Amino acid sequence: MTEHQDIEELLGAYALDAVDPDEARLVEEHLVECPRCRAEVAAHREVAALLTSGTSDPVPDGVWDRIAADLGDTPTPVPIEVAFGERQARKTTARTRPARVLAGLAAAAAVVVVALMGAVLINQRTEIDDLRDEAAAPEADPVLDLLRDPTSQIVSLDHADGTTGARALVGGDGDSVLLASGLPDLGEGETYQLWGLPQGRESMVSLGVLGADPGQSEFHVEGGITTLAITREPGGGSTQPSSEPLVTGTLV
Amino acid sequence: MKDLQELSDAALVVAVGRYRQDALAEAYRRHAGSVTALARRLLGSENLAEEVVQEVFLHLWNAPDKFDPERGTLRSYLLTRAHSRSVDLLRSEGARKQREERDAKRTADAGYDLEREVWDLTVSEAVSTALADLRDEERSPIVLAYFGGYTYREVAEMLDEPEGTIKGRIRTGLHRLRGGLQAAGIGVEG
Repeated sequence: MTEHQDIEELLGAYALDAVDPDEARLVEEHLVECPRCRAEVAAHREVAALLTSGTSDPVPDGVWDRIAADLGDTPTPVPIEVAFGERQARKTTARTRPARVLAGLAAAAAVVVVALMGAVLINQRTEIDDLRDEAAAPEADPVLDLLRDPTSQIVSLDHADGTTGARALVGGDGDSVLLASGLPDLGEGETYQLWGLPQGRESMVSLGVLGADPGQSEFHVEGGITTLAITREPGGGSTQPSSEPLVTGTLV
Repeated sequence: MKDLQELSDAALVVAVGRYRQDALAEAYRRHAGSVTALARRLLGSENLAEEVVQEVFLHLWNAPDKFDPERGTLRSYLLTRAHSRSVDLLRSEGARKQREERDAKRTADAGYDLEREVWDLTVSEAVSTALADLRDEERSPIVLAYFGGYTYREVAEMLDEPEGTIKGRIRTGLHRLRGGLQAAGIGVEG
């Protein structure tokens, strides 16, 4: 019998936590590199969970209270001090791009799309922490409203070399906020301008003139915008981009 | 924004990922009952079961990204965690001793008693039917392993069968059970 077959034989017992610790380690090492066996274990666990379907015991009140008490240890309050521009040198970390993940999958069923966005958005928790730090005021802040909204998405607007110049929080209803802490100040007589590219079109529409030192700006996108971009424009802005975009980002 | 009650489990976990305590409370409202029932059955101790329930939901709060909606339901994810934590406790020294006293002697008889309990625990008729359709030799090892928290080696000893046979029957039994549940149109995707 090959080693793979040995491990396959254990998958049922492993899924029910019915193997010895050394066997569990063997299986886990194998699962890291074998998607087929991972899928089998997930399927067994799904079946096991159904064995108790319909079963539900009353939970004593105290249990939730103790859970809620422990949640307080996690960071929730928003810092009041914000310094835009000081984070420019901060190294940006590699992060999941919704567009790339989506492109790899035929997202036929709506269920699949929702599930997928779930996975992608959860991975952005670190990013949410960053954005929380950047939010200007703790009360009535559109950034916080957007972070609380599960239908919103975070779009990273990146330079060609992959570093992040700005991030947009795009609400499910189109109300959005741009946080541009990674763009250098412009000289007098120039401004940054935000653009959106509607699906299937070749020309950009202006989403707003941002000024020479953009920090946090609110904007609105209509449905059908697939790409966001920021350009440098003269004076009070332009009706069409007059230069190549500095940073771009893709909406899911 | 939609009411939390209307959100799918997957969307709910997204909201948990954004530090929304009310989203965690909603996930708890939906699933804490099942988690409690399984932990109680396995541990036979109210205090230990409560510990497990707390741990399971705090883990969801601290690491929501560990839940992958593509790999299964939230319910199954939480139950899997509860099962594994309960079994860890069960196999820790102190608990093992208590349990051995409780089970006095691990024999096939203990298995039959456990099976009767499981019928009570499995409320869903379709699941009961799918379980009943399994051959005894496949059903008993699954029930003893999952609800009794025994390893397949312990099950082999209880049923007086070779270890390899029991290991194999757990796996084929789970496959067959999945087929039965699919035929009944519940829960598992093809």
